[in-house]
Amino acid sequence: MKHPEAAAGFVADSAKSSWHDQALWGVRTKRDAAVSAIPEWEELREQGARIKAWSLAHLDDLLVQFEAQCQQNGIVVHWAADGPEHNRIVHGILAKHRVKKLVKSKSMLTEECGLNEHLEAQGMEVIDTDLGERIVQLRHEPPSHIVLPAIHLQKEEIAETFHKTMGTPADMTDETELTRAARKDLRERFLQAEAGVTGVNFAVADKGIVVVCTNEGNADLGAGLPRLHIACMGIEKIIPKFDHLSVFTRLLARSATGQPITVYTSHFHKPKPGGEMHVVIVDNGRSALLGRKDFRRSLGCIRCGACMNTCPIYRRSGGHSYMATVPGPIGSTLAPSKDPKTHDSLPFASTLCGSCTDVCPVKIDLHQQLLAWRGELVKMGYGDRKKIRSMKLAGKVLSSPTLYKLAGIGARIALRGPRFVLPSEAKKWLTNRDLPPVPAESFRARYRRHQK
Amino acid sequence: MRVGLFIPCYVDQFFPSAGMATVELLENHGCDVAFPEAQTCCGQPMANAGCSGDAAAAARHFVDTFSGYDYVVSPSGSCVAMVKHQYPKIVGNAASSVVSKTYEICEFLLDVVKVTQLQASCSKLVAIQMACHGTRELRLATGSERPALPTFSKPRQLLEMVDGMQLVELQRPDECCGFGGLFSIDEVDVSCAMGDDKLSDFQQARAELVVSTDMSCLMHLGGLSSRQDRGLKFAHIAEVLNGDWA
Amino acid sequence: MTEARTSILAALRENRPKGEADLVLEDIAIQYEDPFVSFSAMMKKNGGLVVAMDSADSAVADFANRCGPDGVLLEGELAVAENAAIWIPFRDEAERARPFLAETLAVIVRRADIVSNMAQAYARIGTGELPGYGVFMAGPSKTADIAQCLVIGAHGPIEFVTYLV
Ligand code: SF4
Repeated sequence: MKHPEAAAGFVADSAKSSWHDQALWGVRTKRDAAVSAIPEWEELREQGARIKAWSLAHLDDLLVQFEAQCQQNGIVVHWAADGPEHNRIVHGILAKHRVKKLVKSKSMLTEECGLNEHLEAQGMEVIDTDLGERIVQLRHEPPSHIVLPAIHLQKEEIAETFHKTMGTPADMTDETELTRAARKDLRERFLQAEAGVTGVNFAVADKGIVVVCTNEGNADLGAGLPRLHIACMGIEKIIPKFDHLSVFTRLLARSATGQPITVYTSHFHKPKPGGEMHVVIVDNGRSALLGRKDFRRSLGCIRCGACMNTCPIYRRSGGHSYMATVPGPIGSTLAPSKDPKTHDSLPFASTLCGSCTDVCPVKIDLHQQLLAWRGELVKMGYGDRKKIRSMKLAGKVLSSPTLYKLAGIGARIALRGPRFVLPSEAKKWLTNRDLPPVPAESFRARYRRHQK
Repeated sequence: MRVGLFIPCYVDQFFPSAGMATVELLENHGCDVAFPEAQTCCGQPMANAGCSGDAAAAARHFVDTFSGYDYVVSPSGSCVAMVKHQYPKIVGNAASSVVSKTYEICEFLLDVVKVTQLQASCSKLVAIQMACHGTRELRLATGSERPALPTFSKPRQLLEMVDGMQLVELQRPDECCGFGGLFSIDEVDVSCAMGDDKLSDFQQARAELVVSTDMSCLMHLGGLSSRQDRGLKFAHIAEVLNGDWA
Repeated sequence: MTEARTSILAALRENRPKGEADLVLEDIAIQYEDPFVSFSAMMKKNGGLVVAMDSADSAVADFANRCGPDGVLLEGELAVAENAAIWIPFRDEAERARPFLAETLAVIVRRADIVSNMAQAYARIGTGELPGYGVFMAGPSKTADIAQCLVIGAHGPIEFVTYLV
């Protein structure tokens, strides 16, 4: 299935699609309010973009520096070329400690690598502890948003899931009661867990620090209670200096949810006494993406989700319609770099309105990348062949004034005629929309008269 | 000053009054307007479909047709954005003879002609459909994404010079209408859902007339509105500024 | 392990973007005339309670009355006006999870230790010795993962009290 069909399914339930649109627009509105309180916001974005660009130009050195600093602090560093290697490494560490139960806080990287499935297949119990991720885990669904994993679900649906899996009363739909029920259930699991896995928001090269930003407190419980903490990060999470954290902590939460900062911004610098801390650094296609000049800036993404909240397509089509680990505008530029054939419809799932580019806290040129991907995909031979042929024809017509005039006359006659003579594209237009009435004279004709 | 007028293909065929209003506005403000008959299309449909090679042919033709004028002006923000932002990428240096002198009609009137008053009136309740490329590529107005910057809007500034102008406020003033060229066909369901939401926003604000810097948005919105008998009217901003909606 | 390291670093060297200028950042962050006022307003917005006290001792006494044995009282090293974040370094290492298990968490911060923004905060923290673990906390734990409805009290503390002394 491609994006248009998957989107059509979500849009068909217009009440839900419109609720989804409004819920996310609400987040965008909160973001706007938070941004208005910071007069230097646009300069701050510029600084964020510059730090990321600099980091991408020095990734190799920064990673080596980060590794050395971590080792000095007693943190064990691992490197994984791809998802399977990452999974093997994490499993190896857990197996060595005979871990049977572990808790995990939000990490898009482990989602990308399929870590849960891998560990579960080896008999380990993995509990996602971010409330949204827990909800989708209980439903055996992927997250539909990188910051709000369960945003595609309404209260009643969540209540039903909790009723079935945790035995809460069937009619308990109050968000506070549901949250408390999950808190109680998960508190037990935190206390029993033998290891905690977290993601990484920022990895600071000059100090060997891993920073994790959350609101719920789950990452700190997961990393703080068990003896073993494993933090998994993509190579692009590196920032050069400790001071640079100020730029990103100022940008991240305001962009993500409109909070001035996440409730917890946790800095892991050393393992706890008697405990062990591991960092797994993963490539999985990122170093190759670094070599693609039109697309490398997407590696600067700090996963705030703002481009999703603002995207008028995402808001109406839902995260699952993208069928990629990361949905929305950033997902639509990341996904084709891994698998262009599967994801060839994503760069076209955009009006190129540019809102994503303007909200992005690190100024990634998202809509320009989507446009550039269209060109790449066509070159690679993906995308809609029929459309490409008609574009070739249009290209010829539009570079020739004579052909163009003839085509114009042809279109005017065709549009006055019965509908079955129209090409299929015009039929699609006409399913829900009228065409404008055809005027008696074209502009050219009127202009000629005007000149006389 | 010699102004070469660029009229997008669909405006030529479907919306001649938008084109004529542009001509009259420019002439009434002292511009020497010429419409080079050899013009075709800026090439945006091909570029947006990923066929930049085919777009390049149209782009070169545009450059050849217009490089001799002092200014190139168009009643389409989207085509102007194509020329200014995409031509340098697809035809390189060849684009330089047009890039800096191509203007969307509103910015041309304000920034080059320096219009401060208009001979026009309008009796309708008017909503502005801010076209995306006008807002976020040409920066005709401060986008809602950038609230830390000073607020301005060139289309609004011009409309406020129209006698009796009553502008209504939208809940989402610069949300995309869902047209997006081929998107309107490829993703017909999402496209129409977006358009419907826009129409509802106009109507909750009690707008009677929707104006835009781009007829493409209005072709889509007007098509939806007419199918649903919503009773809204649509016009290019140049028509209102020219006094055609008195 | 070393194999992946070697291949990743080689690929990064190969694909490294060229010509990135030096990174010099200007100091642009917002300054508040009265950081105390901004901090208090922000903390309230974040769902936390702000209590002004004349001394740390009276804060300890108030805390004992307010929370009983289930609460946890910590000391914050500095606080930030722009977002009400309080820097809590964990130098007593056994404590790492304890504050997150409490229903009520209270933090004592000196008024004099309120800075305007995160840039000042990190600059100050960076000059001292970094703790093995340190957290900026900005209120009670929260979530809106159920249908975007805000709930105070997710996994961490449900109540957050700041004593400004
Ligand atoms: S691309 Fe930008 S806006 Fe989108 S998630 Fe990443 S950082 Fe946020």
